[in-house]
Amino acid sequence: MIMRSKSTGPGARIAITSVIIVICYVVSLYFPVTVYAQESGCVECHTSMKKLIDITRAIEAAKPKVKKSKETAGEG
Amino acid sequence: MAPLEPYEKVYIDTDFLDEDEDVHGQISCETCHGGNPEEDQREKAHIGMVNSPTDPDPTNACGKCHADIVSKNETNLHFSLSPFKTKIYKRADADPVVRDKINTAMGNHCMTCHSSCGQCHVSRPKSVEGGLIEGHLFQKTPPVDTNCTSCHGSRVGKEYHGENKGVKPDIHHIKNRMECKACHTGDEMHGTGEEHFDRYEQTNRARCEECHALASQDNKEQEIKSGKYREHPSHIIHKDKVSCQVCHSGSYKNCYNCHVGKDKAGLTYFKTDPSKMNFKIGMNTKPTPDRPEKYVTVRHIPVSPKLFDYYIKDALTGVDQAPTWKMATPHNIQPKTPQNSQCLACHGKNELFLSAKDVDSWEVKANKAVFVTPPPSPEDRHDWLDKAELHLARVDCLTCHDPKLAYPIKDCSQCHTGGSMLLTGPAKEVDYSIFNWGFTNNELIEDGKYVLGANSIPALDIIAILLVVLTFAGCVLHGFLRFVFRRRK
Repeated sequence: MIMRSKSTGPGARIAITSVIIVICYVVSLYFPVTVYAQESGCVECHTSMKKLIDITRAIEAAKPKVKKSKETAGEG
Repeated sequence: MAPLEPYEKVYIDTDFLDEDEDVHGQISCETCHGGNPEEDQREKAHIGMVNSPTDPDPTNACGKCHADIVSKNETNLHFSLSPFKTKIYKRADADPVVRDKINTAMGNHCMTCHSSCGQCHVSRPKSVEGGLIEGHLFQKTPPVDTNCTSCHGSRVGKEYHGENKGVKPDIHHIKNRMECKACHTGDEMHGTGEEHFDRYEQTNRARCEECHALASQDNKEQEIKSGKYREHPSHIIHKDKVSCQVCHSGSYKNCYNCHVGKDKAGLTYFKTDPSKMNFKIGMNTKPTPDRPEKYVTVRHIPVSPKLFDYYIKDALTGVDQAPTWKMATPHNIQPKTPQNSQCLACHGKNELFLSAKDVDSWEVKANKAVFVTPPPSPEDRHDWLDKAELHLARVDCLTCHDPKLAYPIKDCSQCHTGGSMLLTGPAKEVDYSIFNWGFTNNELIEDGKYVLGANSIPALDIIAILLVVLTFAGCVLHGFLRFVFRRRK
């Protein structure tokens, strides 16, 4: 009679795999994947003067203008 | 300073993304600013985005690498502006309702000038509508024009750059084009980590003596060349008694009568009376080991009893509890100024010293500790001296008030004698030769200073002595010859 080890059963494999996944997850928290600014989606617009001019003009036009009181007098 | 174009405020220079140019460009944008860079649509990408990630709390953005500096943020005067509050509270009614209104008013007006890490090192301050400086490249030292003078422009900036009519720019600006950072270190800017009632209590502030220390013999020549040498009798006499600015600053700006409020449209405003250029010396009300001087330059601050009347009437019930003329360090330093041209330009010039005549009636009590009690006039102080006015007009004060002496000279015979100290000082070489037909105190006489008892012409002295000797010798010879010839007869 061939005796099969408990550790090679399907349940044990799932358990071991789960433990490995959890360990990997925890380790990944300590070693986050670095995303550099140049890889960020933000830079595509914010480094393009042409795009920014168009976009900011549209935003400025839509935004209520910041007013300053005319009653201000003297030096601050 | 002209405001930036809208696109300039948010434009990022590609150099910022270069590791060699700026290490901060290696951090993903959303790490500090949030938002969602995966989104293609602008509006969605900016949801949750933080425009100024260091204001009010820089812990997440800067704290990981600059923990030491960030830990001092709460007490950093640029961030907290705490002396503004503590000094207003000292004058204000203690009623919590009143304090609440004052807090609202200060939040709307006085505290809007505060700064943060980002508003010094990355962008212009919010108070001047912000906007990135140098395309988001981090500035280890904030630029003077876009940042320092954005807030410190009306007084310090104008003084330093000579923008006040008739007052020269600061010597440090003219001669060496020194920027703020030359004296004001990052350490000072970030504070000490302690709360201070007054900004002058901060111990790591800029000090003139850090460069202009009394020279030692070792570095004397080099310091003379560099203009830092300060071994002058006045420095020895006034050390720890008079602040540097008392002798070396020009007139500076004083502000009066501020009141704040909101107009009909709900927009905040402030109004102050026109500034006045003035120069006043007052008492240092809080001498510290770092600033032990008794006399300092004082500047009028614009606080007034009606400052917060728009928000709550008569909130400053204790307006006389703190001075309205406070210690100042004007930034228009000159080697030569009217007040250091001669001793009597200050001593006896009572109008330079703050007194009750210089303030409104409600300010008298507030400034009592700052007023300088006028000392007796130089004439009165020297009334023991025969012909005091003549001495004051003709004799250099330092002749008698020599800083190397423990006490000033009061013995007349020190000057009025043949060996007068006026003639035998270390710098003077008196020519006593027989061929000198001039007065030994010729220099003084040419200056119109005839010193009784201290005048001689060496050649005449020698001739007189010769005459006496010859007369005596003649008498002796005459007697001798008569004696000789009488015996022969």
